Amino acid sequence: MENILDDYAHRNALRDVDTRLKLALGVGAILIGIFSTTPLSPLIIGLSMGVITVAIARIPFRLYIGLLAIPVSFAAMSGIVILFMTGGGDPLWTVTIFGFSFIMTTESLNLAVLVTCRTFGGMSSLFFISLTTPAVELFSVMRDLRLPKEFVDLSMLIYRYIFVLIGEAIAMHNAQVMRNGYSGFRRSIYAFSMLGAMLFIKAWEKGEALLVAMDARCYDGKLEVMEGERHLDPKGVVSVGCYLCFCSAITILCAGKNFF
Amino acid sequence: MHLIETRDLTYVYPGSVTGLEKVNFIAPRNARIAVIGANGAGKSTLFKHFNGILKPTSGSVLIRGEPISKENIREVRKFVGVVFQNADDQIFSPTVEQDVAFGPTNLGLDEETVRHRVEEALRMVGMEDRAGRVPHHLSGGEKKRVAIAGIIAMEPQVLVLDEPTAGLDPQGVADLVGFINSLSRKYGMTVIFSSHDVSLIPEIADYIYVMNKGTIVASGTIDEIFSQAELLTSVRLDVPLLPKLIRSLREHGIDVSMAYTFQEAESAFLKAFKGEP
Repeated sequence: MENILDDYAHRNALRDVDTRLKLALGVGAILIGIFSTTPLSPLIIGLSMGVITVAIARIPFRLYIGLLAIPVSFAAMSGIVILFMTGGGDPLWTVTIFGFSFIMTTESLNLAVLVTCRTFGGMSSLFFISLTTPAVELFSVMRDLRLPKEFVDLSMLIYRYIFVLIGEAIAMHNAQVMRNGYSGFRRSIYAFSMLGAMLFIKAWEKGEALLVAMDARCYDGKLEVMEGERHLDPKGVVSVGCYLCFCSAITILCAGKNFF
Repeated sequence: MHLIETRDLTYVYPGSVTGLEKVNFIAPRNARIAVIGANGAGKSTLFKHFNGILKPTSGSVLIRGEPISKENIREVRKFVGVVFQNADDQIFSPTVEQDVAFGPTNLGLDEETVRHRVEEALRMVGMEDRAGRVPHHLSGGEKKRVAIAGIIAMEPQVLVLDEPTAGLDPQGVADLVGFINSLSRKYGMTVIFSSHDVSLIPEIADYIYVMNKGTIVASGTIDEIFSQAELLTSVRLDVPLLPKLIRSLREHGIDVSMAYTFQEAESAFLKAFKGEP
């Protein structure tokens, strides 16, 4: 089985910390980052979330950098576009390509930095949640938040069957590779389309088997969410509270302040 | 009144493939019943009638003397627990304990009782330390245990296991044998299971049904069935090694008494060769 983010979430050092606390930290940091008008606080959030994820939750550093590189490189690219496409303020630098001149101004530079920092902060907060909180923990929180029961039940079933489907796909892909299914371009297209078609049929069959399995155990529209004994650790609450207050304070005090 | 009884049960699959033909099957109280037969003999089809997943084309299925109807189907499914052959088809919840809790919750039990039953069921199958795990991190044998626990937690009086030993390692098979026997001995449960591992049958069954091509071709005690070598080979099965060996020795003039389980055979051989009583 491939290692996916959820597998790390099951093994991280913060696994036993209350889910609500972790969610509060992650979501709070994302919100502060989004509403911030200075690039300073999202930058601090991004860096500190990275430190928390790697040093405290003990997620492998290389994995983390690799994961973060994807959204951050996107953010950097859009930052470059913003740099030359928006205007205002004093011109800093002009490039001429094919007779078109692109002007970088102080305001466009500030906006580009802000957007990139926000993305960085938001993504590292999101990775903090997804790498420390297994999806199964989210279901009970979803119930607590009074989300519709049907929605929660459906997401529980979908969650389980994602892995069944991945398993089937890997097994089928292996069976195809074993018999040279992907030996050429034409063969690859043929094999891949067959994989897709068979996966559809398999998914359908699994769905019917699921119905039988649920019926056999007297299903009447209720899935159980087992909730263990949960108590918030006061030390955790205080430290998360302090962290969020600190970030908010920077956001408010430095509101509108830019690097350039 | 028998716990489960089928009378001339006939089932025709859509596309007019006959699955079962005039099957008469009886499961009394506190019995250990083996249904043996080659692949495609109709064992799984028969089992799916026991809790109303399939409905007979003709004939009837009686649970405690009553036919299965819309009104009593919940009672029937609480009374007869069926463990499917493929554990992956049965485990659909995100975590092990949630899956085991599924059945009891649907029976309308309160949270305290559900939790208690889940713990008890997981302990019985030796999975109590894996309650919070996600199913895709379990091995095949562990999934099988979870599937069984999910049914046990509903506390059925009849436990139906479809090919329970398929894909288990020797230790897993030994655990399962002990488990089935304890269910029958401690809790007075009736256990019905299918298998084509004939050597295992004498260890866990009192009574055997032999199926072939959708019909029951023979039924009887272990002695009665395993003495009919021709019948067993004609339905693509075989006599277990121990009775086979003893029969051969007897034909060569050695006086060994017939035995089916390892312990019986051991004492029979000791008696024959060392003269011990």
